Amino acid sequence: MNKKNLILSTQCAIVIGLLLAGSLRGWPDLTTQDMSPGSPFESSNNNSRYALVQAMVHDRTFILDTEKARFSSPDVSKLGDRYFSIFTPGVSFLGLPFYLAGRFLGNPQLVTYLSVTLLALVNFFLVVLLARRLGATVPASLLSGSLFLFGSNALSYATTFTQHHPSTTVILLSLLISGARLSLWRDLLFGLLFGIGLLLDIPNVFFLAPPAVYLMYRHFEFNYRNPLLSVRFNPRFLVTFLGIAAGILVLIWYNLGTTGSPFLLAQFVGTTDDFVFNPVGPDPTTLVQEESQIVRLPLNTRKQLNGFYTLLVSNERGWFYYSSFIVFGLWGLYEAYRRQQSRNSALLYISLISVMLVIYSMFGDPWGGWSFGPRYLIPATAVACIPIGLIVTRFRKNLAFTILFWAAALWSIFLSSLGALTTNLIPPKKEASGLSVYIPYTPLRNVEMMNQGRTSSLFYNTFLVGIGTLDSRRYISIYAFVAFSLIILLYLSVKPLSE
Amino acid sequence: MTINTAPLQNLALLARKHEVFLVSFFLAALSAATFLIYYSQGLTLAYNDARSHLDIGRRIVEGLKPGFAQIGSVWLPLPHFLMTFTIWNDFMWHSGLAGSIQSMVSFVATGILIYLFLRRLGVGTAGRLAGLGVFAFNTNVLYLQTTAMTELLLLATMTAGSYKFLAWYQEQKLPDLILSAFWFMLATLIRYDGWFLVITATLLVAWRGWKKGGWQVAEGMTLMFSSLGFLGIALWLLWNQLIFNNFLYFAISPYSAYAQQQALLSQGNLATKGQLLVSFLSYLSSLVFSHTMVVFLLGIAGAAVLWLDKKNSLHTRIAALCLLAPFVFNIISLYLGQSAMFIPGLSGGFWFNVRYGIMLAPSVAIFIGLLIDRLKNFRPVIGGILIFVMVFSHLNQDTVALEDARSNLSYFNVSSLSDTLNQRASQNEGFILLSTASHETVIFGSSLPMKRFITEGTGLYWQTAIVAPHRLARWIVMQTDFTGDLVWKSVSSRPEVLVKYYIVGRFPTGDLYEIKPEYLPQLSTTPIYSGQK
Repeated sequence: MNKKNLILSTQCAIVIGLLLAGSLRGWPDLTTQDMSPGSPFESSNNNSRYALVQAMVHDRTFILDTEKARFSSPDVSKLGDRYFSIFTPGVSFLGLPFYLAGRFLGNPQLVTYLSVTLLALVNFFLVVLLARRLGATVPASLLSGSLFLFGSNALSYATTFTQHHPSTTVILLSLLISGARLSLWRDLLFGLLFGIGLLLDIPNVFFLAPPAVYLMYRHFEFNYRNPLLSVRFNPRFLVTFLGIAAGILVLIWYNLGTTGSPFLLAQFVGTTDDFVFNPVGPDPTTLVQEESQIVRLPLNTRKQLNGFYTLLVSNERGWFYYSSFIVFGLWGLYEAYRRQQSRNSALLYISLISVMLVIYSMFGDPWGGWSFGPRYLIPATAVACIPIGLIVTRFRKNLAFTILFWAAALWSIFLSSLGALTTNLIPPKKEASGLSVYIPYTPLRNVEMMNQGRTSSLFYNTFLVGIGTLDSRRYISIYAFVAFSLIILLYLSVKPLSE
Repeated sequence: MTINTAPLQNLALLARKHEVFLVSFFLAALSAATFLIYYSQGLTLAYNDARSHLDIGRRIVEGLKPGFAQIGSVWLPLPHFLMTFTIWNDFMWHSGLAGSIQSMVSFVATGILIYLFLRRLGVGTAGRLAGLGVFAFNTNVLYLQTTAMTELLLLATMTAGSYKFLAWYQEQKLPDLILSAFWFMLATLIRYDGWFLVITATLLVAWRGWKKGGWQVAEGMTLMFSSLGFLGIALWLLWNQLIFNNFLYFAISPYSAYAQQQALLSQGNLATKGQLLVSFLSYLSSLVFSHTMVVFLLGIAGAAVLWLDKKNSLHTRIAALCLLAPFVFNIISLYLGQSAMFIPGLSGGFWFNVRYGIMLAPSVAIFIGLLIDRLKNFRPVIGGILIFVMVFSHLNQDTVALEDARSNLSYFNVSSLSDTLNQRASQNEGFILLSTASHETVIFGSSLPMKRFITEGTGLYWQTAIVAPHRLARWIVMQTDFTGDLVWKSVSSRPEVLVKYYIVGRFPTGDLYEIKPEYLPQLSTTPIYSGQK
């Protein structure tokens, strides 16, 4: 790396660090009971995982007591008289050392959540690294990484305690390894990543399949001399299964401690409505009849039309709506595919994005419950961002391209800053229409919060409240402006292809 | 490890030599297995229309006035004509097999034709097998090929015509053009979709002729093609004129699809009429639900490859326009109010006629086969996703055509009425009077011989019974107080007739009347107009 790039990278890292710090959630007098919008505990998918960390540290068990179960509801399962988190335990395991450190430092919540924020930063670097592998220059690669972090809902979920960033890390690392020089340690590491991915979120198994198949394929050597076909397989690949087995064993251990059965996941037990106020369920007699007739699977092809619409273009969760610059990422993939040296990587990225889209379009809840943007597509966003640098390098001098790119980046950065600094709790349209007090199902919900003078930023709420005329709206605007400036700076630093 | 591929190569050569046979065998086995599954669940006759088609076929060979005149005017005649070979057998009639067999044979034929079509497009084995798989494992196609509906027969003839049309467009051999016209002609005798297809094909023939040799060649080719291609339509118009005294009786009669759509319109249930966007979206939705979203999107990508890839000759691309004819036809048909389609959330609260989406099943399969062939690097991705999606569509039993069959308009549960009728009539002599326009499915459900029923097509029996039912009809099935029921409409105007009957039972779909015992001596229980033609 030359001096100029080093300075640029350092500047970029400082700005990114500051921006991430500025978006950390909370307020000085935060208690674990505060589940209001904007709080780190606003959503049960944070709380359920955090409660598991607390249970492991304080009670030395995977079982949640009633208080923790209530705190985790509705993302909590019940079998017999035992409550446990509905999620796989990977994120909680990850947060465990951070929680212990946080206790030591006096703020376990902040430090535990910091584990995911740090992984968001790691993801930024991984996108940069993968973009470099694809052939992009340093500024172009930094642009790819920055857009991922500040132009998508990756920012909103960088300050939560959810699976999205850890899963993204695992997926990006697997891409890195599958394309790198083959070695025993890399094979073992890939297997471990696969196992960790399984512990973080079950669908990761599908998402890690394309790089796994690619890696396995690379261990084969075919030589054809009619009519003899010689096939050589490097048995080193088998160590991958050791890593996978490690992950499976941990999951079995966890399942035995929760559901009591090695292969029964909490997801298959379902949520309990013990803590739901006035639960309204179907008549049990009709339910029995329906259950016997209908096959229920988590993935259903009939849902695809709604799933694709919701995930791609809707103003509820649409990928192109929330992160419009993704169009350039997909274009970049085409560009990468056209180049012989990056074709295999492009194919791998396309497979991965396709698999994610197809699987989540078949999922019954493509909205991801009350959430901000297409949260399930955060790993896909990371992958789609990798080739942005390539396309920018090619069209950097084209005025129309520059205008469109900047416009898309500005829109995306504004939305993601808004989400990160207010709330992730946006209801799906179908639920919003049934609420007694209407809540918008689009980012207007975040605008409302902003206009009410509320922000979720711990930094703002601790140090800046009441200082001059710096209200939350200005804080969010300045935040978005700084993030956008970073993108522009990087864009302008990219050398056009002709140079 | 070193493998001697010579035996495998020999095997591949052998398979290639007999590929059509192998494909046929696979399709036939799949078809039979699926039929057995649906038949064992009693679902092959879920559609009202399937039972009505079988009854029409049966009336040709058995009834009070058998003969080809029973083909009627609403539905096109070929499926009913083909049924006559087997429907004389009671089992073939009541099991629905007389109709299912032609759907199953059509399924096998369409699969083979897709395979051959792709071969003609220069698609390799992987692409051909992929296209075949997309068609053969489509849950909706698999279900419909077990029924006595007409869709599969139409698909077979349309695909055969399109295949020969492509061959002619590429090679300009006259027999191909004649054969294409023949298959298209058959399609025009199955469903009205075929009419649009033959018009499209004629325009493409004219264009090809004009490009080849100017106006004169175009004129000659068009005349030759259309004289056979339009023969079925001409015969059908003539039939309507001869039997019903109106060339357009099929289109304007009270039993026509148009008349039925008018009834829906008067109830405010025809959202597509006059609404191009709603019509377009409705048909697009039916395509998505009939194929699954991913398959549909891949189909679009394949179509783009077909028309944009310069590797495909201009003639190939133009000839392949035939594959899109059903798409255009269905949108026009919905827009004009000639057909109805309900898609929950878009037009109507339940499924109705959503199965029309499978009219493009061969086209989608061909497009995807081509896509997989051309995008070699993407084969693992596309193939993997296709398999994943299709496996889940089966695991979820995502068969919208079956749900359509069991929803409001496509399915009337007449079992209580027809069972009661069977209990009464199977042990006693006498005729049953009913209108097929209202109660066709009761005939099928009752399992009684067709010759026991006096319906609109029975000539003098009908004319007599409608005026003086007590002379001929021991039982009457009609919907009391519903003037749309022709029997009620006639009988209710003669109170002196109605008092001669008592109500056996009232049922959701109609009421069963039986003649009072004191009027039995005046009743004829054996055929009295056996000589009528």
